[in-house]
Amino acid sequence: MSEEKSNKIKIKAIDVRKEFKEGKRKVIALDNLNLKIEEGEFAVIVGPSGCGKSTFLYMIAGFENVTEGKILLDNIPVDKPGNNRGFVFQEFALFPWRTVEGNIRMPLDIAGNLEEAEIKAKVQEFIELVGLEGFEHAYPHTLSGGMKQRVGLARALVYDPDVLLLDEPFGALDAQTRKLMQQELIRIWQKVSSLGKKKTVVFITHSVIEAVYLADKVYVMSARPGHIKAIIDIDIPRPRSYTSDEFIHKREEVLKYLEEEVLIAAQQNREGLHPD
Amino acid sequence: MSTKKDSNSSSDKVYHDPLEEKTPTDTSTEENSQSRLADFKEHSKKYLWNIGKALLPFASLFLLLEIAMLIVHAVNPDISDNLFPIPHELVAYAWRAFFPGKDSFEPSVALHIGRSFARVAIGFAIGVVSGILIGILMGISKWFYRLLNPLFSLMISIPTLAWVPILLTIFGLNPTTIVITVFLGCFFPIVYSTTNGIRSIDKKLIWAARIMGANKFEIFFDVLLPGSLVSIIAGLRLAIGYSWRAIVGAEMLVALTDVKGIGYYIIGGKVANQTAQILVGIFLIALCGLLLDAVLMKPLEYFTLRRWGMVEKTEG
Repeated sequence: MSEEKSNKIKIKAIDVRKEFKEGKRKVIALDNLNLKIEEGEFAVIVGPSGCGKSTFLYMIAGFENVTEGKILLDNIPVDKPGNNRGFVFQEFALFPWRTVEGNIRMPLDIAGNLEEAEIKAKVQEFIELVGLEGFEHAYPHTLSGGMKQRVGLARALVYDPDVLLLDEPFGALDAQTRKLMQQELIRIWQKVSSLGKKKTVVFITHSVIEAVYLADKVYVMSARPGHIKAIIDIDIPRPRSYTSDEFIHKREEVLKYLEEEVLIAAQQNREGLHPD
Repeated sequence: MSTKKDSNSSSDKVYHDPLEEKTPTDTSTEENSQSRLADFKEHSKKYLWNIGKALLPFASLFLLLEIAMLIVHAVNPDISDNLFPIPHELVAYAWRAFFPGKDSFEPSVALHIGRSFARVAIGFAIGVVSGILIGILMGISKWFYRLLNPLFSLMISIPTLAWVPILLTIFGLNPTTIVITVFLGCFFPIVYSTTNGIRSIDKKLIWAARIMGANKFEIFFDVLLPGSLVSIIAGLRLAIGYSWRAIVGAEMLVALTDVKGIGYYIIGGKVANQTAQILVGIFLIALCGLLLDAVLMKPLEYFTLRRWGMVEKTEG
């Protein structure tokens, strides 16, 4: 598909630092983190486990505060969560007491600016978009992991936010479902971007293959304290093949930066297990 | 289009990803509620069968006691029938206790258990309403929690009956004292379970609501309240048990003919050296507990937590 380039900066992190207390120890999760994400960009952040990539996403969402520095969304500092962003959680975070339909319509109920008939139509549109027709009245506990995350996606997109934040959304799925969901995510993202507002996506993962398959740009984060170590443009046209030469080439490039950091993180973990 | 539901596995069924395999399911709400009703009927049938299974050990116990008591009485004919009743005589005794006849001085035991049941209902109802309200306040407000939690942690370990002498001094020998004792018995576990239920809700569910733009009011009704129901229902169950413990003790301590109650009836059995009377009283309490669980707690649990998959399916 053709991608028109717009250079408007949607998300900007300036000298972000995040500290928290782990028992008595002060841990610096993020330090000196700077990044710019353009409007409509599909940004994937990869990093070794414990590097603070999820924490960074929580701060974009407004769930957690920055200790120092700023995160700007449309040039306005983020201070609390709000429905200009959608969030997809690794463990789905669906409301077990609501059906598929009930979960997806919840943000529309809260916004309260639509008539019942409009809500119904909108919910149905998104149920069809994520491929859950026939499961409107099912409760989440009866669904498989992949289907739960389809509900999670629909719920995060139904109110047409500008930004979609995904925290290792396919981490809890098996390999086949994971691959399928990657393809589905691209399809859904392209579809909603063409229908409503252009969606800027920030996607957290530790899978390099997933990152290269999905991203316009891959941001490699360092081991703790986390900052952006490298930015790799993925200019492979979609739909992408996992096995093409250029795909493998990009995968190796990302891996090269990531591997050093994974080693450092592993070293940190060993030290953490045996202090002094 | 509707799938024929296999009654045994209908609620355990996990759907597969729709792109891998299309599994049709009932789409109309009517059909859905009908199958839910059928589910419930099936569940009740199973439930009755389980009660039957649960009664089996009692039958063997009955038989064993029958034989043991017959031997006891055969070995020593001087032992009083009143102190060591033979089980089958208990049944006859229970019948007489319910239907004492016109020439009896004693009222039917139904009157005693009826009075107690009403007192439990009142005390429990007050305990549920106030306990859940205060539990909610402690769950959502750090200040309420800091203020009340130390006090309540202390109170929950005090046996309810320890308060009765003070209550007697304040309210006197009357039903008010008994109802307040029941209230005290169930109030603290309900507060505790409600507070814990709210405090232990997955942070990410609250985040999910907040990013949709939910305000505090919406987070409370859409997330905190349904999310704490598992814990609240467990607390209510516990509280029913505590209510009966409290009422029997309180009625024994008040022990007035015109106040009556099942506790009074049981202690009367001791005074009259009638073991049968004590056993009938105990049996009635057990029956009431079972009844309350079956008509109140089980359906409540079935239509909420089980439907939402928030509790494990258990037999019985």
